Amino acid sequence: MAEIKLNNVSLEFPIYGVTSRSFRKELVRISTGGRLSATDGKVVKVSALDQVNLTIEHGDRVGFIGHNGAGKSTLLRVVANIYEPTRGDVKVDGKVSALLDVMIGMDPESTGDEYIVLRGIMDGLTKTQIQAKQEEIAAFTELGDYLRMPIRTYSSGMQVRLAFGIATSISPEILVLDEAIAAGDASFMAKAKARLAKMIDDSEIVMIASHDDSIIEEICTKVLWLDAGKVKFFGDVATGLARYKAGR
Amino acid sequence: MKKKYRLALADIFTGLGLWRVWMMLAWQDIRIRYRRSMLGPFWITISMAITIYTMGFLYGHLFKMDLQVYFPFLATGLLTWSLISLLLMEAPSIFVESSDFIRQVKLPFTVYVMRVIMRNLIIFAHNTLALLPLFFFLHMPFGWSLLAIFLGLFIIALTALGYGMALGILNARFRDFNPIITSLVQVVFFLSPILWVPSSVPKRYYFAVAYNPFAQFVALIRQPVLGHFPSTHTFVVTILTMLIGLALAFFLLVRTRHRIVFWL
Repeated sequence: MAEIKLNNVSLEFPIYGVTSRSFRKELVRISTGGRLSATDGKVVKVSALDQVNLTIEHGDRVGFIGHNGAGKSTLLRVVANIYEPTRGDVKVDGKVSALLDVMIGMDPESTGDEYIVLRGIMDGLTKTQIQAKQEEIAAFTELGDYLRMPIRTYSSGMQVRLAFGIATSISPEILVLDEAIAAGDASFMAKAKARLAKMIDDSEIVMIASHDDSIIEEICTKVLWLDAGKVKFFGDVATGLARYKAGR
Repeated sequence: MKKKYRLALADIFTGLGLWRVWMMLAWQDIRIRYRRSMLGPFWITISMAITIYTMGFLYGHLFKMDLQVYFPFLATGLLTWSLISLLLMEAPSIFVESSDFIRQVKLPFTVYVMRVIMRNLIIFAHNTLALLPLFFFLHMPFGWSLLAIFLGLFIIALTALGYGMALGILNARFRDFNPIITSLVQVVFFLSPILWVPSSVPKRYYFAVAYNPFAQFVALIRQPVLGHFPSTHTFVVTILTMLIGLALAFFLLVRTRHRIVFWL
């Protein structure tokens, strides 16, 4: 039974480069003692999540809504254990698969087949599992012999097909999706939608961040409205979307 | 044990256990680098051979040394130095170069350090081929001491794990370590017995070789190829350097593991 529990989770990002992250400044700061540092040694911090309490249960399909920069992606990354919270506890039962960037690690010089192997090994699959996957992905993407060509020869639509095909070939317990993945020609879109829907059906928990209300209404059973890192609403889809649109 | 320590240890050991991932990433780096060249990774061998044989003639004559002795000495020195210097120069960018992965998937940081170490060990293996003519023409001995190379490589790899992790973390936070290391490597090349033989140093300055860890790391590979087992002193200095590096890496990993992703 998959379950996610967030207890009082807060996350602050340090932003470097604004004040310059040079070693010299740090040396100057050390040599001038702590007092001066209070004025110019402070790192700019952004509070991305602020005391989030949340329990997501087996079977929940949660849509994350909120303005840009409200903390949706950050929260997804916290669940995927890429970010660790500054304060609070995160408890995740179940294997998380995060589709944050489907093109990750794609090198233009490697072939499609090599890329499938790379992603397979990163997911911890065995050789035979990867081989089975190669055939299945080849069939889905309709790339055929192109899989033996370097990725730099692909059109952007073909690249997306490959990336999407690989990303959706897993059957995760907890699925984390950032924005709806869309591209390709019309006939492929229908195929992609069906495949995504099947993956969502197979997952025990789904979390999806999207600005598209129709996607949320179609897929989700609950919505989570984030505003400036705080949970404004968590519960029923219709109520949540109505309140989000009304702005309160 | 505190959670921070446990998580840092878990990072190292799970990372080492994911050898299939870092092996594959390392091979992919090599493959992609040489994909469209005819000789592929053997260019590594060729360029090493060119360096060894031209510099051997030049410096052998300059130092007025017997080429029978100087060639093997220089070749083993350059071979080891190329491994050490590449590992060191690539260390600061370890996490910066893998930032796409780090921001998107949860994998131990150790995986990315091992990727760079493995990549350079593969290059080293290609470089060793450049030494084969020496064995053939100069009748260098093929002895049991050669097996000590593997022990040496093991120590070098663990040292690189420590300092690679430490420099990778430090450079993710302060982007000054690339230029620092680049200039350090240049200076150390001339300060260490790679081109010149240790016996040419006056006795009272000999400590500069004995306590130069780089000189001892070079000896770790050079001695076995030349037919001797490395000295106890070499082992003491290199293993101490290794332990300091591992301790430093562990200290930094405990303190910053959860922060690194925000620095990239």
